[in-house]
Amino acid sequence: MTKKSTPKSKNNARVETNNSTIINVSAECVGEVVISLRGRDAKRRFVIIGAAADEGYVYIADGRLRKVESPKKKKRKHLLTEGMATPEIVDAIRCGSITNKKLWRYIRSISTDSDSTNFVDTQ
Amino acid sequence: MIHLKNAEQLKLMKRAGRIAGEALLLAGENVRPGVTTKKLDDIIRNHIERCGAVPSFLGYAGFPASACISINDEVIHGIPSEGRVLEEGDIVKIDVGAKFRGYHGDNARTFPVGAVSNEAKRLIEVTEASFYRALEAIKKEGARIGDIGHAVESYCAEHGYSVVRRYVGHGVGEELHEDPEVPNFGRAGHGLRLCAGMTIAIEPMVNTGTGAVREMPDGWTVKTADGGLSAHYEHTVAITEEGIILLTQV
Repeated sequence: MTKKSTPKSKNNARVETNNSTIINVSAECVGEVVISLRGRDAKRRFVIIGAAADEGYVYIADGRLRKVESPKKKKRKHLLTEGMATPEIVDAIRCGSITNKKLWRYIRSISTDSDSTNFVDTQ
Repeated sequence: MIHLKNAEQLKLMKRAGRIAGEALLLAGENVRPGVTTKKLDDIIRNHIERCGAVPSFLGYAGFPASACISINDEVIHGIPSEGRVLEEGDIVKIDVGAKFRGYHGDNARTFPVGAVSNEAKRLIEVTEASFYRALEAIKKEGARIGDIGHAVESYCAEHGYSVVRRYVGHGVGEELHEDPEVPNFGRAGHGLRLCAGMTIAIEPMVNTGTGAVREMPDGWTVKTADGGLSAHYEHTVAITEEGIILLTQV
């Protein structure tokens, strides 16, 4: 079945893609819990939800600042790996059933009050 | 967001594609004067369900049938009905999708009903050939989405035909319509770079007149604005490290 084009590509000779996030959820790094070291999200905890097509980049989300449907593309070297998330979370990411609520709840559960990497804004 | 598929997912998509491809062939064998489009829809639905899959289109955004069957100046999304009978000289576009274990396969073809005019025959041939031109274009390293559209549009223009711009090809996978959009027009070397693991439906829709279309009051059927003939050809294609695979090829 044919898809109706979005207004961007309608009658427009220039091919543009409004959504060029290419995400590989089968990569080995999927499900790693990481802490951002650079940028405005520095010191926050995330989970890698997919590898990017560009080498050295991954997509991260926490279900709150970075949602599953609009993850942040981040350089691997700007992330500190803490280990793997639980198998339930990893499986949910791989099969596409992960939700923001589930992810955020998990991230909350592994963060303690004394954690230096805890969130500045948790409102 | 574009989800790249791994080998396991591609295997399931191949199964889904094969079922959709077989259903389309089966429907094609039954295309002859006097057959209703509802009859063809039933054949398609029976085959898909017998294979343990479900028709992707049935209920999709409220679509009431298992296949889109469009005749002559209808470009796409024709709704099969008891009252629609194929006549000698018609060209009929059948678009079929099957969902197997969570993954979709989507393909379409244009069939002549009995003996058709030379113009209609040529249109069908050019539409099919434009698809294979697009495949050639993406075989090269570092190909982009724009290469597909450029190949289709330039080939059709060479033969004096126009492509439909209002509707486009799309990514296929766990959803019937995924990112990216795959237009049948564009500039070579522009747009998203294709990479291994992508699964897309390339589907040239080619008109004898202008590429303009209008939607019918039923909310689905799309016709050519000038009443000219239109043809459609589609396969679900996987881009892998080893090369291009036609997932809906039987």
